[in-house]
Amino acid sequence: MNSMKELEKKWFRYKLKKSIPWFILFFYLILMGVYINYKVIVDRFIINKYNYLSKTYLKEEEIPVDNTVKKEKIVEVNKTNTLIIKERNDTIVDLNISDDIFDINDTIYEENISEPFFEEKILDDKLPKVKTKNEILEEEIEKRHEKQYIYIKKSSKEYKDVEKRFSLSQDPEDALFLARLYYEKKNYKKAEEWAFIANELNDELEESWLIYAKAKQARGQNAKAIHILRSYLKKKNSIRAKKLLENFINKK
Amino acid sequence: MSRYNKVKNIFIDSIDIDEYIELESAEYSYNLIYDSVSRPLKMILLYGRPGTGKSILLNRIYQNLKYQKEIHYFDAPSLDQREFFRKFFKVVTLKELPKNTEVNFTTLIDYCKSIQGKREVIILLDEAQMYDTNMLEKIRILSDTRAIKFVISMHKTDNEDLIAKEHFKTRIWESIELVNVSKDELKNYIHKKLLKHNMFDIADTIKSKHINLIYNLTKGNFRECNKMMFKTFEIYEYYDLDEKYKINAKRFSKKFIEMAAIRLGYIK
Repeated sequence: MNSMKELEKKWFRYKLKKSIPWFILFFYLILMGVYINYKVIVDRFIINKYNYLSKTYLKEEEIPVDNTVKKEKIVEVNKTNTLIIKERNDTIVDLNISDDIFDINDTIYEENISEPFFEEKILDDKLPKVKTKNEILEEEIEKRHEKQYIYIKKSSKEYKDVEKRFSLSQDPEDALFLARLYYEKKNYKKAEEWAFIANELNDELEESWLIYAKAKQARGQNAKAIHILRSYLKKKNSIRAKKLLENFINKK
Repeated sequence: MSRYNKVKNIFIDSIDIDEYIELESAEYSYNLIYDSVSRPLKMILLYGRPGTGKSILLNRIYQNLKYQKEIHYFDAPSLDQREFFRKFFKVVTLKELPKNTEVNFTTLIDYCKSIQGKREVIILLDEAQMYDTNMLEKIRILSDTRAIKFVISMHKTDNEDLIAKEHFKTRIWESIELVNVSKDELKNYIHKKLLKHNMFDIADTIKSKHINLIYNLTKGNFRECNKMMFKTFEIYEYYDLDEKYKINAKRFSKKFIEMAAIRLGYIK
């Protein structure tokens, strides 16, 4: 009888030993579940934050009423050669974005709008900026084409991978990489967007400032680009920024 | 007394022909030996791992042919040569060797030659791995007389290839290897054993999962399987007498199989 009890104890020990791998697997699955859950929560948080930032950014860019106004004014511009109106409208819209992104000298800049250096320089700009109705229409068509192109590129695996990684890592280097990539691909809007994100995460990244300024300039917002570079130069004495600023001023 | 006492005794390892269970693979080996014995061959080798059913197969051949042929079954090996030849002298000459006398091997060979063509004596040698090389050499010489036919049963181990052994190289005319059985055959074996003793209800509770477990533990070896089943029903018997509530008559216990395996040292 004792031997049978002993045998039963041995059997319990055997079963326990045999079930250890199952216990390990069970705990592993639980840990995995917790980890995935945590990841989902973090991802959701990051996505929400990103969406919020994108929305505010887009809202500022869209302003449909302004666009129509802008278009109307452009038509008038062709007749009267008053290019300033267009430039000013653009600048005002961009200024609002800048206020959120680079919170340096916002008020000063707004004040600067009325200051003569903008107007004078813009007024110095001559005929090449005066466009005919057809040219404006062509530009519009090109812009639409550009948008489609951007959409295709956005869906490419290379971009997606880094974007996906960024959503997890929140690494400013990733954002900067994307900004650089988009800038190289001449997707200035996206480049601007990612440079902005990179800058928000780490405003010490010189390249984020430069890409942001370059993207602005490429999108025809020269005054805004100059303002960004000047703001940065106040913050840091950068040779590259200086050279770029000179470039932009000369282009005017 | 518990009914499991009777069940456990079904699995006592024996070479009793009444306990023989006809399985497909065993039947195939039986037919091979039967055919070989009927042919004018000098030596037939039956080999396999312990517990693969060699002895019961030899016994079955002996039982089935003993009234038809001059067949003799040496179930226990004679380690002493004198004892072996005394036994051999008796079956060949049909006379007892006088006391205090020894068989002269040369005279024995001459006698075997003299009966060649007149008689055909078949000797079934079980556990022949116990014989030494010298003895096996003498058996080979005796088989060369063509009057004596030997069916030799031997264990096969990992280290030796019996067929490659020098004294068998040229003499073996037929070699039959017995191997462990498959899962299906093991299931048939256990079920048939129980059904033979009218244990239908117990046979019905032993499902494939139990067979799989038994097979994994015994590797389809009859002897190991018998030991395992005996031990399992011994545990059943204990609980049936002392803690009956631990027995579920409708379901065969995996726990008891594992306990039996622990007791037999198959698992630790």
